[in-house]
Amino acid sequence: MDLATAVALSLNASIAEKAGFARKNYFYPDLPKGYQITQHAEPLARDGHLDVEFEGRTLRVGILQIHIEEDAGKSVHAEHQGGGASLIDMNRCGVPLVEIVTRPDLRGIDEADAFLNELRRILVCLGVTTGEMHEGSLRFDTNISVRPKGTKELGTQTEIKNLNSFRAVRRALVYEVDRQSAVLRDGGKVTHETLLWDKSRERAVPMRSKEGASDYRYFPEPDLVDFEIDARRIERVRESLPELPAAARRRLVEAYAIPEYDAFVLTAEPSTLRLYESTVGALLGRLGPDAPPTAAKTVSNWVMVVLAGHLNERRLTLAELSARVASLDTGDRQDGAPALPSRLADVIALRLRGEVSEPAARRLFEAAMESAEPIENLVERLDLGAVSDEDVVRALVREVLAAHPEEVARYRAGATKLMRFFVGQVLGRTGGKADPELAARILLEELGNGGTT
Amino acid sequence: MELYELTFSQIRAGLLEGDFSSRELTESVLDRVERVEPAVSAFVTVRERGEILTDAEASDARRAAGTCPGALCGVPVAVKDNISTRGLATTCGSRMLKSYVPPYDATAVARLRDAGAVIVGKTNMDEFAMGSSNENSALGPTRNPWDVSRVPGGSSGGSAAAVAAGEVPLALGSDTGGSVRQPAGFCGVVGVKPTYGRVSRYGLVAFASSLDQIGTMSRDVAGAAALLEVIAGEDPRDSTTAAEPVPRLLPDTGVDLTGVAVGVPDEYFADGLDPFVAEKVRDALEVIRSLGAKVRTISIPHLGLGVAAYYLVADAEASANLARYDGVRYGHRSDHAETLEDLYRMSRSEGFGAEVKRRIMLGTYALSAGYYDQYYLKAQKVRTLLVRDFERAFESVDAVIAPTSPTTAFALGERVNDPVSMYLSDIYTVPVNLAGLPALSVPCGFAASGLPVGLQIMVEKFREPVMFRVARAYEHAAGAFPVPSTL
Repeated sequence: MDLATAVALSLNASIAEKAGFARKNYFYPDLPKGYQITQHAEPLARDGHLDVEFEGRTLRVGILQIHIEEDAGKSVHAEHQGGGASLIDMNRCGVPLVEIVTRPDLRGIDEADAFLNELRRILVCLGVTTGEMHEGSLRFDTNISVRPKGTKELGTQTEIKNLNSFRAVRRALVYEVDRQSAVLRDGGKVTHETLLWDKSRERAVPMRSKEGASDYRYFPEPDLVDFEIDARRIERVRESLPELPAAARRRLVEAYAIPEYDAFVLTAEPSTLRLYESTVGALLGRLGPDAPPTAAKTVSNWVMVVLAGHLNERRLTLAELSARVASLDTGDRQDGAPALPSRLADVIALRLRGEVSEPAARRLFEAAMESAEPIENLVERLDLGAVSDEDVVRALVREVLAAHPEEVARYRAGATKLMRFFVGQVLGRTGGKADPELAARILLEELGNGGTT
Repeated sequence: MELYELTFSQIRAGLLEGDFSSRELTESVLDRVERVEPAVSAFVTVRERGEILTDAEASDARRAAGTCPGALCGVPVAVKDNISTRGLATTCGSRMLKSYVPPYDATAVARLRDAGAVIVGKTNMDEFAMGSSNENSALGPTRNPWDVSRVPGGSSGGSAAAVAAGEVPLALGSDTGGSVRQPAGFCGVVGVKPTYGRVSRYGLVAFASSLDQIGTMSRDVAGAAALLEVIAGEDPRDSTTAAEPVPRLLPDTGVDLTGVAVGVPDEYFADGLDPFVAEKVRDALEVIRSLGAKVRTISIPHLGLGVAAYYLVADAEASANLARYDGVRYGHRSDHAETLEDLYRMSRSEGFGAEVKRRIMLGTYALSAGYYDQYYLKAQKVRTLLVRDFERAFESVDAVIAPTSPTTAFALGERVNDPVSMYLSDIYTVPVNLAGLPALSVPCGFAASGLPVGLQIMVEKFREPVMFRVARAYEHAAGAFPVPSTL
């Protein structure tokens, strides 16, 4: 009840004073009791809305109602050992769920996509669901209708069920918009029906219609008492609400001066947001007054690119990596941050102080994820310290230019793109530890010198 | 006197004084079971003798060690066969669940075990508790120990007969519309239907969830109260249980009823009441008056609507509660089904008996589109009227007293083919279930036929102590009710 109330509050809906439940009676193998407990007459909440940022404007999507019901099992119609078999996964039976019904306010596939993503972010942020669609923890049914351009009245809709990924939602919507448009163009009529999305064939097929009209014989659920939702309870839930993604995005842009896009990515999951903010905090602590104004943006790049790449390559979740790094942790840190952001801040601090080059910093990061060694020891052991002595770099530059007289000539004739080649050669001679910017500056000087002498 | 003949009060004192052990008591009880079961058929399952005696010895040991301080320690108890017992078949008197062995204990049973009670076995009942005679059991009928040509009442007929016959001093039943009180009255034992929400229904196979309540049976009032004290109380597994604390149910107030106001509703003494029953109830009321209670006439104006409303509400809920028996996961599965539809239809056709099917059809009909308002909703309105009738009555009296049933035990086969007359035997018991009130039936003598008559005492929600006080005072004045000597 508290989670559903949190959803209702986050979607600006008005909450009923009393929640009662009803039995919806029907036979199906994935419904072990032969009835589903649901809210029939009076939903938990009504008349809400969600504002979604979409292509530079605010899209307000109306919420018709939010109600609680129990989940059924999942029927899997599998071709099993040559014969057709239906398997039933009972694991979700009886698990409470909230169903959120929108008003017909979405005018296209991209709008729907933006809305669903924002809704998912909110629900994950509230801890209502893990948001894992393939596990069935979050599911969407979509209603679609098309109408001739310029007309006001909504067309007949169809409902598509069995959408278990964002990709499936998008594919199904494209399919159904095309199908309905074709029907109307041919002068036909869209039939009001429920379709099932067939992921493998990428098409929506009509659900087998039940014989006769279904009579669910709803009546009040006698095993559950009516649930009073008094103002105090609502206030308690309201006070415990976390910062919602939209507010977090605004705050990040303001507090850290990062681009909106970064804020969007960093607030997609509560765990990512926590990691980002802890890392920034730990980093600023390490750098002190020397911190460059772009330090927060640097952390954002590391989280979105380096860390995300690391997770992706190793097929790890952030939680798994956090747990692993925490398990290595020796606990002698003073920054108060959890192990992973602390370790990440170590690496970025070295990089921002210029003590390691960018490629070296990335290698250092990989190593830091696998070991508890103090970061300075790692730099030394792996010999990742930056080659930042100008004289050393200048000597290497001269070596490189002497070894490639042809390229030097072509560069001077205007092939300035060769600069990257020269930088690469210089870096190669230091095992990637030289600062590429320093190398480029000296190269420019040396190549310029050559030009005038 | 044999140990099996003792009342709970005598057993309690005997165990406490060390006059006999739980093992000795249990052996006497089990011998009695062996002797009378062929005639009575109160049990569906009697546990293996060795297992039961091991439990009895364990309780003796716990008592000796002081780790089993409750009144039920070492006392043999029978459990109605719709109350789940881990590892012990729970058939509900149905072919559907003939081979069903629950993997868990009902909360009431778990509390019995914790209290050191010795579970003897599972008692026969009308299929899924639907019936008033025990003739609807798929395992054959139970017979009334006072006259084996008569029914023991139902649906907790097995529990009532077992207690009456001295097969066990205490038993659990369930009361949805009178299923504890009516057989208690027919068999001459004390039967208690607690306040709705007093006892957890977790593990009680659901018939009508808004009416079902586990109840207790004993040959004396003290036993029924002690058993209830153990099983009562809030349970997080049943959201309809009340947070209300469970008081001492049998107060030490002696047997004087001074200051107690008793109401006798006119409507319970109208046409259809057997004059012999009426006479015994009037005699009992005289005894109660002589104990100091003020007795006055009151009115429950909507009594006559109770049976109709009850059968609509109960059957509507039953139609949903029994949908789970679909042959898919447990219970009877037809061997002949080719399709899913067949599996449902054939498993249910084969597994359920005639009365259960009748109720499912009635209940389904009452909830159907177009009939809901006319039947289910109207029945719920009658329910509200009955709640108000009793509220008004309890403004001026502490207890309402009436007959438990309009007649004494009828003959086997007499009403089987006349469901309406069968349903009408519940006329005095269903109002209490509809209103969620506690009530008990205490024996008040024999009619001319030699069959016991039950006196029903009804009180306000959660005022069970008042009900037990009146019942015990009456019992004390009237004298203990015997075990039938004919068996």
